[in-house]
Amino acid sequence: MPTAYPLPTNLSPATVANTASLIRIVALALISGAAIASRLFAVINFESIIHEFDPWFNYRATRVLASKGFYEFWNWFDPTAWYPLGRVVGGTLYPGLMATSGVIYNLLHAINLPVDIRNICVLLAPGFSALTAWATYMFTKEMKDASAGLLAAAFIGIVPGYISRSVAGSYDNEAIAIFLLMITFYCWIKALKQGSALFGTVAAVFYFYMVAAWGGYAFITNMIPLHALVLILMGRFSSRLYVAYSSWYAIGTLASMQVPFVGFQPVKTSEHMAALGVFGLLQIVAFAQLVRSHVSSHQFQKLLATGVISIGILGAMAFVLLTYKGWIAPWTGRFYSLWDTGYAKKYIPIIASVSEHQPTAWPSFFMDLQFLVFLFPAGVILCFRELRDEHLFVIIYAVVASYFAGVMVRLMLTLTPVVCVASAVALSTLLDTFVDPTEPEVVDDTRSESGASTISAPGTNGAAPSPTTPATTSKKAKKAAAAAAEHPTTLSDILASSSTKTAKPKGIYGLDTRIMVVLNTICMLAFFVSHCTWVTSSAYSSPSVVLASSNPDGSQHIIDDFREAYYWLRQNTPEDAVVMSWWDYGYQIAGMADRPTLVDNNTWNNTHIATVGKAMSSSEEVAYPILRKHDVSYILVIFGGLIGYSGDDINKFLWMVRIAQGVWPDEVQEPSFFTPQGEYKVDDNASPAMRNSLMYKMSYYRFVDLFGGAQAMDRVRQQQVPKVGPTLDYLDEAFTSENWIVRIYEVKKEDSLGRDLKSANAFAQGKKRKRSKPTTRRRAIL
Amino acid sequence: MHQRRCKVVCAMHIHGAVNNFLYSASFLNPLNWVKEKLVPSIREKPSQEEVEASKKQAAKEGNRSVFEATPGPLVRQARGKWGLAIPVKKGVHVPNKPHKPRPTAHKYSTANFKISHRKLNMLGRQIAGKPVDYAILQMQFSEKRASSRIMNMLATAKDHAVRYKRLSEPKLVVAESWVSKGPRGPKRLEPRGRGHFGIRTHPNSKLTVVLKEGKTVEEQKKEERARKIRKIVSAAATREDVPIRNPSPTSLGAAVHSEQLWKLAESKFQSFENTAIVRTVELGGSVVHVTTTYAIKATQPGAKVYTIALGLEEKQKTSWLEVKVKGQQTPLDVVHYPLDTSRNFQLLDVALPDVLSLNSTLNLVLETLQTHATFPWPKQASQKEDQALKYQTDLFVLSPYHTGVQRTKVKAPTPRVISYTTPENLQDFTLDAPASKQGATVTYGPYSDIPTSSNNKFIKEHQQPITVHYFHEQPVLEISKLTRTAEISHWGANLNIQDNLVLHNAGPTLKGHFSRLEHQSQSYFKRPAPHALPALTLHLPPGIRNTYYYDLIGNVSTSRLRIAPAAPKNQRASRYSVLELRPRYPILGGWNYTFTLGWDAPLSDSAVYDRSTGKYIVEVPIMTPIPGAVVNSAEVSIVLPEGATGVEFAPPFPAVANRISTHTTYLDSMGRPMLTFEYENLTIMHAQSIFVSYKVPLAAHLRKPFVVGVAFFSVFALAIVGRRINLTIHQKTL
Repeated sequence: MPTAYPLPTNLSPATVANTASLIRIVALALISGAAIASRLFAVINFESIIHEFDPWFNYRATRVLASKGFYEFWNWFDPTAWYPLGRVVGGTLYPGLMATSGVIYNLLHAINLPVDIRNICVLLAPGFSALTAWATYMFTKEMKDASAGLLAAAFIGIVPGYISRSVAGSYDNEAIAIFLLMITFYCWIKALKQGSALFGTVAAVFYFYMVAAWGGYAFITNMIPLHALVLILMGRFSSRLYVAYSSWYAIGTLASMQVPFVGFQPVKTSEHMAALGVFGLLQIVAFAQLVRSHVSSHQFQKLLATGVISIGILGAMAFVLLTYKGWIAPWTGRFYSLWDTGYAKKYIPIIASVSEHQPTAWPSFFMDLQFLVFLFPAGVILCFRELRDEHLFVIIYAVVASYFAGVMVRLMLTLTPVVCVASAVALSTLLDTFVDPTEPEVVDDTRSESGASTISAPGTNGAAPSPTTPATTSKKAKKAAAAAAEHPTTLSDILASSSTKTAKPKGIYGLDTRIMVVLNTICMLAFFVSHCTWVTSSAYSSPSVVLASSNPDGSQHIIDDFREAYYWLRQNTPEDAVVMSWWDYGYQIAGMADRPTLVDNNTWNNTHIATVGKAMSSSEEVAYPILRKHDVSYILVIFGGLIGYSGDDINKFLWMVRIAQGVWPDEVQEPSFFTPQGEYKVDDNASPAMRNSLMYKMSYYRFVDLFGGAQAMDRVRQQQVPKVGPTLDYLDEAFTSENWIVRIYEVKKEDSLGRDLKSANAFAQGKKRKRSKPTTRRRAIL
Repeated sequence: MHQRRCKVVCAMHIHGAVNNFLYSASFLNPLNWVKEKLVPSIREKPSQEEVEASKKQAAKEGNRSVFEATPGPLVRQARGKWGLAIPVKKGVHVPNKPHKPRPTAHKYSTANFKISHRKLNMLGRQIAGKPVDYAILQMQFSEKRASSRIMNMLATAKDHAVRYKRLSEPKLVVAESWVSKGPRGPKRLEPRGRGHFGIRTHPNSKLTVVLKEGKTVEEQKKEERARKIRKIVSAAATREDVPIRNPSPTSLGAAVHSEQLWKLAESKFQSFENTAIVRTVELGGSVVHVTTTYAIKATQPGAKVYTIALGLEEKQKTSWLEVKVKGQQTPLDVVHYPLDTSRNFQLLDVALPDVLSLNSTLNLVLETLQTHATFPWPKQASQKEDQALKYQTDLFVLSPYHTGVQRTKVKAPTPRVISYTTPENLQDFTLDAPASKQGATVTYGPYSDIPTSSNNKFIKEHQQPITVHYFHEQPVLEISKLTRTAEISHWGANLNIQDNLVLHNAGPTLKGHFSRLEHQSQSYFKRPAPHALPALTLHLPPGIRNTYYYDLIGNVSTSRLRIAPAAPKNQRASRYSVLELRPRYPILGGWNYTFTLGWDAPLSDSAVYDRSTGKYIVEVPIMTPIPGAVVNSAEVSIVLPEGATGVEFAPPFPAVANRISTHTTYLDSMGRPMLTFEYENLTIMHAQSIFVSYKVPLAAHLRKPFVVGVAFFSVFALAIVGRRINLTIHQKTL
């Protein structure tokens, strides 16, 4: 056989195998290292700190777990959240993440390694990303071979779509969930391939871990049944499928019901019905197979008809009945918003107000996946070539995840693994074809048939070609040749038909083509690496608690206003002082300032949030009774107008108004916050409702004085603030951070003489009471 | 670099072929670095014999260093006729030239050049008295025309002084410099307007300097610093260079003998008379410095124990106390009398350095630091208002002896004293005004002819409180709680010190609320509120690494650190690493701030190995001096290496409580001994060191690597066994 370049001949197969496995291990280790290292930008550029908002709650819960033990954590009722309602934390969260950190923490402390719990939390996500790379390797190995697996591991290790959720400090459920997703899928594929109850059980165990760790477990709950269903519909039912699915579903579902937050959902809610239904269907199909093997085919036809019809009718009736009786929960809003992107905006503004629930923009696909976006379809198409059971899985996964990633930004995360797998399959096929030294033999027309059949299957020149492939491929090749002869469709066909009349030996001649293609691929990979590094370092590694800017001399200047204010609250206010803020900052206040909050990022009570929204958007006189009723001592607002921090509360204000309007449509109206021209303004043209709102007043209180007579400029909205700033009668400025980003106000107590605070203030300032006005009520407003 | 190379040479000599550690090679060779890091002991200085022995060995092997090969100045080897070395006989006197007196000064001057003596004289005055290098520096950057010439002359003069006169270069100062007029050239006419004319002279002059050995810049700075420190009560400077003694413990066992002691004491009381007592109170924030000078006269021969009395309240406030003879440095021994609640005062016995004969006199100085002696008044102040404090003390200095004349001076930090008490009913002691204020000082007295005052009768009849109300312009700081943990690691050659501090602003609490606008405009106009603390400057040891400053929610990014290099071996550190520590928010009156500050220091800077006893001695500072602050309670823990035995410690002053416990960390298998000391009311004077000595056997050093190694290998062994166990139920027949 001619080769394009010389191969060493004096190597024993054992040596080759050993070397290959050593190289694989080393490569996997390096990939793990790269995966961890590329997530450490945040720690190196800033510090070992918990990022964003949700992670602060996870971190706080983990601290409780680490310091008080698991049972205390399980029964933890947090009276400081959702004041005055409180939150049963143990029953309303996915404990997998905290339990993982807790186990690591206790393990390290058992061997006397006093690692701070914060550092464990910060570094958990990078650590698990290394495991994800390994799991993806195993998964892809099942799809194609080890080399594709290594490529997939490398992709998932550094792809920004995954890094965005797993940089050091991003201590969120997704940090471990993607690993669990991939390992569960791998075990499922393995179980399906081998018909192994053991692997089915392992898949169920990891599924349980996933249920305990992330709400996105529903993705697995629906993906595996879907795969099974498709297999049945394609007539690929086998005992392997039956064993794998039954062991996974039975054990996995029972295990998942042990998580308190999930409880009986797996048998009640519609999201889980698919899994249950497929389980039932599998039993029926298996039973049918059993019956078929025992009775004649005519009887079987009859039996099938009656059986299927009666079971179908019974099942449907039971489903309707259960839904009607309310035992099966109705479809939730978040579920609807998956199908109808406009649904949330219309009916549940609180879901729509979260930026990560927005539909994905096209550029973010490229930003998160770069050239994998182009390789991904190729990889999926290559899966059609062999179309084994596991390839079907990848195809289904790709279709479903692509749809969801288009609907919600955060679901890009579930798409990323399959993109990596499919792209790795595509790229490794390409490399296999072009690195393979075999050259097609220059044959006469008579021998061309055999030549084509051996070479035209580039996917099969791996370690173990399956016995069926040569036959099928040669059949295909024949067909293709025949088709090409009739209608020259592609360029290669034309070229092939022009050189010889019959089917040609396919393959690559010479080194030049090989080198060109391989070089090109290497360039693409290199660009991919540099793109990933750039995106990770510049876009995804900012803790958002700490803002970075640069000094005139180029050195880094850190804007640390959030922590300044939170720490002030923690050190200088009474421990039971209730802090009101918009829900975004609830977890951070609880974590850093350690004070009770009205609402936080666990947005379970829409009315409570709407109450805060109403207080923020109405005038002082209206808001004051609300504040007093909720025992609010301090109000915290975020104001970026001085230094141009655009994520501030004035920019989020419309959402507060909308959410409040959803509950009190008579008292809060969104249109009244716009100018008559329909613009959202904070300058002289701002509407009266806007200028009287608590939020506006608190943001701009004494802001004008800072400019000492010059025209005050809001740097975020690029508008000039009115010359006369707002005054506050019911609130006192308690603290303002260095760059004015965080402003904290204290709610005044009722006047000790029983006047309302407005007139008390006016009296204190020496203003005469106007006779024309009706006398103020001499009673405190409660 | 030069020094480092010397070290290398020394190391080669010391260890020779036996023990081939190189200091600087570690920068090139990772193996050597590992070796160096893994040496568990502190490198101690080799004795003279060892050095000699290794030199001999090196000579034998023929690899002496070039420095050793150069012949010494005296033992010059004479060469014989045949080129053979003739050993110099012992006792042969090498004849020297008769000694000239060693020159002490070098005089040098410029040539006459064209300049006015007046212009030149300005430069002369500028450099006179300066160290020569500093003078050269001044001339280098001077804008005067003659400066470059003077600079060159100075450089030449310095060179000559060093070469010809063998004067010590670093000590050279420009002792004198003067200008003399040179010959004047012919005058010229200068035509002016309107037929007038002027006469131009063309002056010539020269500058002469005399270089002598004087005080170096360092010495001058040191003196300057000492002078300043002497002035400062509580502001931003440390007094660590003053040796400090603390009152020895009031032993509880002595209570049995208290009556005997009292009787004994009372019998001695008559042997002295106070000619004069002057008490100076230097007011501050949380720390007040009181200096009392007793001019005493012995009324009986052979007196050697003088007794000092302190009021009960004063005693409680006093956190540090020292008695010296005026003008001397060594503190005298002080014995406290047991506390007796029936008496309103406390007595201390001071052992005089010499026995005093009849009518001989001596001046004793009692220095005390009082903490929590002031309080803010009014108790609240808004952001714009001033900060005023009140200080209260007793009018009379008590003494068991008759006092001729007594005076109390209360010095406020600024002349802005709001009010002070004018005592009444003092006709027995003075006829003038009992109190007067001049500038920042309020003077009480002189009061003359005061009888023995350390008795309840006098206190009841005459003693009265005086209060001074004054403005204070620095924030009043308190450290409510200081927890220091010092961890000694021999493997890392590291002393890690970590402080947890709870900082509290004890000034007037903030009235109303904090307005950022107000704060920003105050700092913009450079008129910060006197009770707001925006930042704190701390002096940390030189040569520290990995300094960290964080609080409960993470790193505090607003601080700056300037690290001074480590001091050379056997020298006292003269420079400090300066940490400009900014809390997250300015600390206003009544606000709190907790934070953690820690650093790693090379163990060799604070530890020595005593070869004779085989013990390590480590010096651990009790606290980092925080200017003007008082530490209400401190807990200092010292974690010794694992397996340390024979632990002894020497605190500089007795602790309120101390204990030893076990601390387990970093893969320890048996834990480390931990010493804990508790203190109260520490001031800047208490920033001293605890000395701890202990032994660490080699087995203890090797314990950890052994345990970790065994653990690793057992994991591997388990894995090896585990791989070979087959758990399959159905053996596949394939």
